[in-house]
Amino acid sequence: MFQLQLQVQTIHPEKGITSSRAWTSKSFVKNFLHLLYGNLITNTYVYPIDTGGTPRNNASSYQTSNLLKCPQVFGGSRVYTYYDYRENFGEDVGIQVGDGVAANTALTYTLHQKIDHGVGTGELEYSGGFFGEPTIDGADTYFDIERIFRNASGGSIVIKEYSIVVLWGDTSSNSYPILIVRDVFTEEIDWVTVANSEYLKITYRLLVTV
Amino acid sequence: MKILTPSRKIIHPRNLFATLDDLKRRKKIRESDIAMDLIATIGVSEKGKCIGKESFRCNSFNANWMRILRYLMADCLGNVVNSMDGETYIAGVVTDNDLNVTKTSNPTLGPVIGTGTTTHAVTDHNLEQQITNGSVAPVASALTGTTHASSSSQYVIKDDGGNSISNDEYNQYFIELTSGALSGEERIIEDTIDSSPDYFYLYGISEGYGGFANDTDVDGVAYKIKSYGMMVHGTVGFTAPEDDGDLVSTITLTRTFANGCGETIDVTEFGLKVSASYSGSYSIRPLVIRDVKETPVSIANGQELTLTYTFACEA
Repeated sequence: MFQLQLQVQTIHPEKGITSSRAWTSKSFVKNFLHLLYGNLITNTYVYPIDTGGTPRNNASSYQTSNLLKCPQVFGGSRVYTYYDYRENFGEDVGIQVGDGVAANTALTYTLHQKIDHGVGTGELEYSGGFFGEPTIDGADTYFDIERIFRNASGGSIVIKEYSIVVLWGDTSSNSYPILIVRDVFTEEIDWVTVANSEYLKITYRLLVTV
Repeated sequence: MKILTPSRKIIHPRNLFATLDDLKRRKKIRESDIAMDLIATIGVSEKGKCIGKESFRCNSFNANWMRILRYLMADCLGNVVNSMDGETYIAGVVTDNDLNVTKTSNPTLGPVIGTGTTTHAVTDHNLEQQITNGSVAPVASALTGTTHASSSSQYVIKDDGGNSISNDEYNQYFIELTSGALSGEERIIEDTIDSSPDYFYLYGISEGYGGFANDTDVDGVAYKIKSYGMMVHGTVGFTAPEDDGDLVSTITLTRTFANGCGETIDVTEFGLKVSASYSGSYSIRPLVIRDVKETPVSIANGQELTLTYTFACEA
């Protein structure tokens, strides 16, 4: 069975881990199936919606036939697919966080209120990300996707939603961020507060168990 | 069977210092833990009429599935085990869609079936006893008589009757050595399930498999040609994610297997093979799903089995 798990930790630069939460996630959205479908079959069109809300389509046999590329680099750095004429930046893809609580819909394509990359009020610095190696552990096989954020905004920031966004390109060599996972928490007990100067470490674990 | 989708509610552990290890300690996977559901539906029909149907939840994504998903997302190379030979390949090239199935009747890709009974494991890389594409009876297709290699050559493998089966590209025969040894250059199936000597697939030579490594090898061995029954493999069908407005989205892969061999075949294994690339221009055939049913699905001569995989996500 294919599972998705989410771990959220806050880390003080001197005290270490100050909080840790973990949940079973269930929130692959329709875009994920679009891209999985595109990876399974060639010479067909797939129709994901980018994070700006615009439907895109592309024959998956073209240059971006790997439709699940998920580069995670420092916010502000360029990210690419293969022949990429459109600018996308590190904070546009990979693991993202937000403070909105709107429920998912059938066509969820973005975080409700994404927290921007930066050091201004309400902003977090998006650092690079890490992909763990696939690990076989008994009946389980899993790999982790991690990303680190730093709060240098001068105040606390409350995290209420999380996402994974991949980079996908059309036949015109333009690439667009496509959200494939979104987890949202509406209850306050599940919200995570990142104090000023603290780091936030997000880990998504993709797991299968036989 | 109703497709079960994950609960709409996030699981709320009230443990305020929880880690992934805490989730791991749970002894049982709940239905609400499933992020993407996978349902296998097996239909049996005769003369175009459905005479039986059943569904079951698959818990059968294996390590290959995770390796491929990981290298697609991380855009890097991954160690994927090939179903054709059991060997690990540095698969994954940035420009390939390495879960490729395509709409073909090629029996090395797409939904596949077999007669094996060994419980599935995360390290499965092939069906235990995959049914071959064709319409010859199981007994007849399992040629038990020893065939001497003298009538074969490096790239032409012949059966007892002198018929070349090397031309049967993409099929799923096995060669079982009864004496002699291969040079080691062939793609030898690991003997984790079969206790017999050595097996290797007869496969498309253009893809680098099949045949003996050299003519000297041919002269030095005797072998049997085997299969585990034959059914005619249909073209793989797909349905794209539907857009009916609800929170659940699905895609399906379907293939029909027609039994024209003259005998009943009891099908117990169900799986999915995909194409992945390695070294730029070669492809391998990783198995990414395998389930075993305790109760066989008996397909009489003239009947068809239709296997449908449904992937389902709930937003």
